[in-house]
Amino acid sequence: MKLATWHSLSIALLTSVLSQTTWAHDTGRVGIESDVTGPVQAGHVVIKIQMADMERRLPVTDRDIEVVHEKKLHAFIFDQALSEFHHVHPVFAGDSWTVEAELPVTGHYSLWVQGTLTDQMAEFTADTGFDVMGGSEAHLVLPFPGEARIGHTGIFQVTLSGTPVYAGQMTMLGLTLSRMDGTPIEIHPWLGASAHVIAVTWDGEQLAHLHTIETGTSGKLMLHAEFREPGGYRLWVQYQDGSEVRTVPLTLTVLPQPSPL
Amino acid sequence: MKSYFPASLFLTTLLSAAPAFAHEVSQAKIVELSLHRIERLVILNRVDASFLTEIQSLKLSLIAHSDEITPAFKVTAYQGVAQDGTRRGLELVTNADGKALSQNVLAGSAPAVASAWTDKDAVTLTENSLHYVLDNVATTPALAPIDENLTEVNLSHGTNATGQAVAVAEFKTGAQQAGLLVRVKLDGTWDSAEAVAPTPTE
Repeated sequence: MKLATWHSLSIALLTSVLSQTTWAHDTGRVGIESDVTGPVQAGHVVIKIQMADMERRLPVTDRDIEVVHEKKLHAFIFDQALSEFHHVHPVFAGDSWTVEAELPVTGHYSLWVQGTLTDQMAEFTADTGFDVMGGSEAHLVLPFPGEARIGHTGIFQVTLSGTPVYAGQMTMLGLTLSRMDGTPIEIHPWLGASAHVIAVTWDGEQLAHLHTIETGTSGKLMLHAEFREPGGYRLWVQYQDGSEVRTVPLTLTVLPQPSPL
Repeated sequence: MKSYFPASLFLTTLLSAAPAFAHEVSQAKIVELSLHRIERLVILNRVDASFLTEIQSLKLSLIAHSDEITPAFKVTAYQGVAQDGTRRGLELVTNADGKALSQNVLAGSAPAVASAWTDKDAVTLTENSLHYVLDNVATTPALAPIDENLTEVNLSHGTNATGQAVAVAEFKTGAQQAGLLVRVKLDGTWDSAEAVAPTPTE
């Protein structure tokens, strides 16, 4: 990694009140260790993780974490090709947290864990990696294919609107959630938000978990974000339509900040 | 009650960029990340607490690798030599990004002489010394060889210019390259630093 950029990327987010966010990194307050010592078999994968509060020098248990967006921990699992994606919620038992996901595809995966400590309400992220073997063929890791602001999974479609996004500038993006078969969408709150947007840099090394705000019009949402680093991003948009949670992938290009005249 | 308009937002990142196969993380940074990992392993009771208090030296070696996710560095942290001549060690393997891949405890007996750091532990003193390099390399080009090529750190007791007890961290980059001594007070705050001349060649 480039040390000069170690602290340089963040994605900020506005709601009705501007939210200042402290960004964590892997030498931050909470560190993670997993029980994985080698490749895991594809299929139903169960990983146990432990977390350490480096400031208090204590293990992080469920008593140390606040419920945020209806869960104590949010975990994101994605492969190196940014094709597989899971948003799951680790469960604490004994002295560790258990993460479970269906991972049928071979590949190198990242596991990100996100939470908020009761102590000072400190948000944190911690990540680890692991390999999955014995599954279907790994997705090819390809260069960023360019921006695709319309994404769909089956009949479920997400369209991202708004002006080009420049690094370092607060941007308001519109999201339109729809069904391609023309039937009306039935958005229900899921985990305390109308939609969740997980943004990951194309190298998979930086992640932000964003939440949309409603506009009052069915299926139309807004997302305020600042991407400080130019480049390609994978966005996974998650929302509940009817009784099911849908995950729709998009790609976004963040342009270099224009030079001042 | 579910909130459809969350008042607080939950937003975080982990910051580390992806290198190709070249090491974009300096070797000093790898050692720092390894010190964090030792601390983490002790907190989680995965290794003995003596690795926090009795670390005396760290040695970094390179591992041939062909991508950014396979082993690239091995950092071995050693405690002091025991009466029976053995030395406890902890091998930490990372990828080129400095991300932890594995660890292995090298069996040995307790050091014959305890480190006896009175305020901060050995890992903290070593890390704080290392921060002199990491935090100043951008503005002090002379630190760049230490930052990029660090292969060994040794921590010992010493005194500063006024005779005050300090921890002395010796940074080495290779047999014939200049090194660095960094002194930190026993509470972990910076004291002084000086370059060590290269070992003359015969």
